[in-house]
Amino acid sequence: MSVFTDQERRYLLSGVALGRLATVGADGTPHVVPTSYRYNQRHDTIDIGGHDFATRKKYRDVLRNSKVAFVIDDLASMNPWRARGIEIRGEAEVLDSGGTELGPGFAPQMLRITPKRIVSWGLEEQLSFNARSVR
Amino acid sequence: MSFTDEEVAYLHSQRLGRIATVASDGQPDVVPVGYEFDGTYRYVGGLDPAKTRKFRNVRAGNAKVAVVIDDLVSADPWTPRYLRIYGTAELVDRRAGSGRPGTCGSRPPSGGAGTWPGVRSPTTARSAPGEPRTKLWLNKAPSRFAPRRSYPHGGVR
Repeated sequence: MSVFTDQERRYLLSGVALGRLATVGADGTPHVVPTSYRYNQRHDTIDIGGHDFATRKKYRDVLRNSKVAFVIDDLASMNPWRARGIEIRGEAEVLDSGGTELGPGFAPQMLRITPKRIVSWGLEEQLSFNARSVR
Repeated sequence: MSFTDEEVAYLHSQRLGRIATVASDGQPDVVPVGYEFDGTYRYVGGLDPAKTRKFRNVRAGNAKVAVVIDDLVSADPWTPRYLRIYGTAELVDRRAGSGRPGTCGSRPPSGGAGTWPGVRSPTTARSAPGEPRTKLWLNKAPSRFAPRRSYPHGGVR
């Protein structure tokens, strides 16, 4: 049973190329970076990897503070203006293998984000909005 | 002022940024925002900003923010580029479209769909009737960013 709605699952699988991942640094400063991602249907998680992943700030941040936020959004239409997207706040788990499956040349390390709170907007109709805690 | 001409041009060329804030318990938040850029500060707001998580995080005393403005130059080869700003947010009362030159809107002027010129006249751009987003820029309490450092970055995956 997915924590996502059918519309959210469709959106996560629709091929929006980039999401933005927010992590928190050692001094409490947030960090945000555009990144590719994969919605993992088996685990119902967002999986993120990359080149030289273990050297990246987002990876190092998660080692200290596993709380992250990830947003995927795009414009369904510019005229009329119609924005849509989904924000996922949750816990990121650091995995030492599996990352190589997420993209060509990717490092084995990866992050797996388990949602705790989900906010989505504009996925069904222009003004739809769905925010809830899921764990 | 820390932005280069190239960075300023890039800030004007993009319609959305994504802003990250942090709650008192260490939980980050990240959301897309339209913005205005006056050459020094960036302003974000919304229809009812006081209800948003980012506003509440800043109001709770967590003023450190990060913003990334990015786009995908090419999907093949994978070529993202971005400009990231770490900074401090301050809650100010500022009406959107106050007429300063060099501001950037979150959507193109009426009739400009499909192109995104640097919007130089936000009042005009946002006053078209029948556009639901117009209200989003009637900011009651947007945030102001004092850039601490920024850098453009491009690369091929």
